[in-house]
Amino acid sequence: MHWFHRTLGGREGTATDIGFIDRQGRRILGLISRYEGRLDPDALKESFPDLIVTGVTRPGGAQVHIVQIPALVDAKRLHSEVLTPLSSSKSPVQTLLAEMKEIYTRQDADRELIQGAVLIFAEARVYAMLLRIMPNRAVDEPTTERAVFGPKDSFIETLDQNLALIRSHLRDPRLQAEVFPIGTQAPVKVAVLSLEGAVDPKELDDVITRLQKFRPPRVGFVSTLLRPVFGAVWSPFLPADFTERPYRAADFLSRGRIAVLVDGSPWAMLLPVQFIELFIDEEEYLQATTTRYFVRGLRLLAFAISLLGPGLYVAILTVNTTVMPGLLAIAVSSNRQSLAFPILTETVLMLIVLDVMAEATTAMKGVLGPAISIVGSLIVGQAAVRANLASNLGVILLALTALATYITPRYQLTYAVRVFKYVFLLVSGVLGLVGWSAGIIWLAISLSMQRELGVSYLAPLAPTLLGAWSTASPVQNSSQSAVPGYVRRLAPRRR
Amino acid sequence: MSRRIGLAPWSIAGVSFVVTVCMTPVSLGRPVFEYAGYGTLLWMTLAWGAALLGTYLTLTLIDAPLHRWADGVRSFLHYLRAPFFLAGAAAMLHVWLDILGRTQLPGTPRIVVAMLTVGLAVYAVRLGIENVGRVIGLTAVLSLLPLFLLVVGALPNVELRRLLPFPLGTGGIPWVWPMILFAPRGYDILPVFGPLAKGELRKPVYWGMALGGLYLLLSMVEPQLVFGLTAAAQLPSPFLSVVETITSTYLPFQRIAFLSIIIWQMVVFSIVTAYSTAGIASLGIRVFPLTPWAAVLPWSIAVLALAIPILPEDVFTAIKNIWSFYGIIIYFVIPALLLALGRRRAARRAALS
Repeated sequence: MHWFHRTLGGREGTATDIGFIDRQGRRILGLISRYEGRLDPDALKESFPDLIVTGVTRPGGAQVHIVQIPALVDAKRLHSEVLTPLSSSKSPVQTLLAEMKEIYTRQDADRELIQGAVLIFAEARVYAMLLRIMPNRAVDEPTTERAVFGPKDSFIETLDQNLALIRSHLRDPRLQAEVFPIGTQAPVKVAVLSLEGAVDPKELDDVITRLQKFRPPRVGFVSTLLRPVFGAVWSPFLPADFTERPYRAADFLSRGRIAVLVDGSPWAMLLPVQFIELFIDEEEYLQATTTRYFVRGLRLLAFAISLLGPGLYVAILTVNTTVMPGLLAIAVSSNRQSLAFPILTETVLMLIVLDVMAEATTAMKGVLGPAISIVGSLIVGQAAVRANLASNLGVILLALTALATYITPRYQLTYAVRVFKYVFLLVSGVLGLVGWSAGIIWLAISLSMQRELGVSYLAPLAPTLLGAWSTASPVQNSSQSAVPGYVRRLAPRRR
Repeated sequence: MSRRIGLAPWSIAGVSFVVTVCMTPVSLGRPVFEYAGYGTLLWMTLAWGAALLGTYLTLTLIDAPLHRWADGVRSFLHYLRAPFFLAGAAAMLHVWLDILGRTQLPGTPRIVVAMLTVGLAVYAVRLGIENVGRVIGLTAVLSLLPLFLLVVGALPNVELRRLLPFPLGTGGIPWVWPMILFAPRGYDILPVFGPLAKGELRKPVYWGMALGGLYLLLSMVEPQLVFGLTAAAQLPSPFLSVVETITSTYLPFQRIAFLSIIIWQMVVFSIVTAYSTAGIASLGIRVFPLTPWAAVLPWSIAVLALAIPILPEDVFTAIKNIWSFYGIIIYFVIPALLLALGRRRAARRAALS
């Protein structure tokens, strides 16, 4: 069975004649006498191998054909809402079937079939009726962003359901969603969400325009939309964050940000995100203020340890050895007497092993992941020390770095740490403390120049906006604005 | 994505703080003790007062309505500041290289540190004044606490009996006084950075100056309290010697003096960057959104050539002394004259009404 297509020229324009030819060579045809633009004949010769055509004889004897892809169509609804009315009533098709639209082109017919619609060829016309049945799962607990006290729902693979989840957490009439398809061959619905009045309308238009100009064959994960919005992103410190928790997406929206959802992807892309927010967990706000700031400070300290710790270790033990206390220097040198590698080589090798283990744990889902982690940390670490390939101090540093790397609430940040610690390691190994501090300055310069959607990545640290710190948290009193100061307090635009 | 240009006033406060702290504690300690003697505290207090006066003059001059001739002088003052900034950046870098090479990290090649610092400054300056403000503001935030820790950490070593009643200075070469009076000089970048501030400027600038001045006072008086005046005047850098006395048996570092290397590396980078940006802008070259390479490269080569130790030490002493004297003229004398003689009274009255 295959499609056929014929274009009939006429004085008033072009009529298109589309339909199917079944296995016996019979034409199942609806002559469409609608005038339309040009179509690509090559594209119209494609066919769907899993297409089914069902013939229905109406009470008056007229023949109607139903075309469908069974895997995408709700069989019960097809029977009750289409087949039964068509076979039992003499009324015209238009009056029998609700939510039906007429199809004029092959492209529209293809699109409707893929979306889960049935095509009804009747009375020399073609109609489409959406009877989609999407295989979706129940709303479950998030797998990577565990919630202890907060809401425990997570996104699923259906866009409509995800929009409903966000609306249930953000019951604000100002919440607006712009939904449009992306993809030239397999279009997928994409939703851009924002809170009217809180978001900068120019930036929102900018994001929507950039996404609408993006014309890939298909869109898989929501993360594939990062490039069309921000261009090529080279910095490991991503300007967007991803979440599987509707509560967090709603919280971001209320802070004047933009969320992007893709049908079929259980993640929301939040943009733009700022450095300081990567250390804030919404569940902190269930704690006392002192506890909250303590935990946040601890995370920042852990971030500094994981990023700068290996570099400092190498700088002090190789170049600037005089800063060590005498007893510690003796202990370190006696521990290192029989080791095979110099400190820089040993540390680089151990960190590479650590990253390999981390990737293996990530790649190996389920119960195998923790098993690999335990094997790596216990057996490999002990074996390395016994084989004189690594010092005990090095193993302690490795363990501390590993723990500190994964203490941050945002998994994306760990990649930035894992990449940049090697940079610090190398400059410290060559230039000592001077190189180490030069590395900090270089990172500060490169991060402070990073700004997306009109918002500085390091705000309110750089630029220093002292008054904006108070709103870097969910609203806690009536006088407080929901949108943080470091998002709103922007300088006038100059081109 | 769109770019937004503008300097947060608190970024300027950060720059003001860093410039105020500058290299004064490590480079000015010995000559001040040597010549001011027990009058150090008094002179530093006077210097702080002079700095507040300088800030007032500078901020007032930025937007004061002036007669035509005075307005012309004010514009020309911009060009006079360029050599001031060039000499300042080079002198700060030179002092730092000297300290680093002699006392802190004798094994570290000076040329590598100089290239590294100027390279980072080029990277920052090239990105425009907005980023310069942000980076130095961030550096100020990062170094504020450690800088004070370095001073506060030595307080257990302080003996108050050494703070004797202080007479005025016991004489010495006259160049020291301009150096002392011009020590807290955070206001010198304001003519360049100030007009780009988006918002109220005076409060953050005075905060930056106050914190910087407080730090200077502590760092200048503390060596006297720790070592005594006679011993402090003999040390090459009394401030760094104080830092060396901070010991810890509870940390994996015998001395926390190595922290000062890191912090001062940041401070020197900030000074070289701020002065380079200000100097290039003073020559009438646009520094935002991107500073042109044609300006950055010759400037950085000039800084590097002046800073690396190929010239006799006396030349640098002269540069430092003349630099302070020159700074007092272009920041105190000329602005005060302009405000006194060149102000348009009618326009002022109109502005007031």
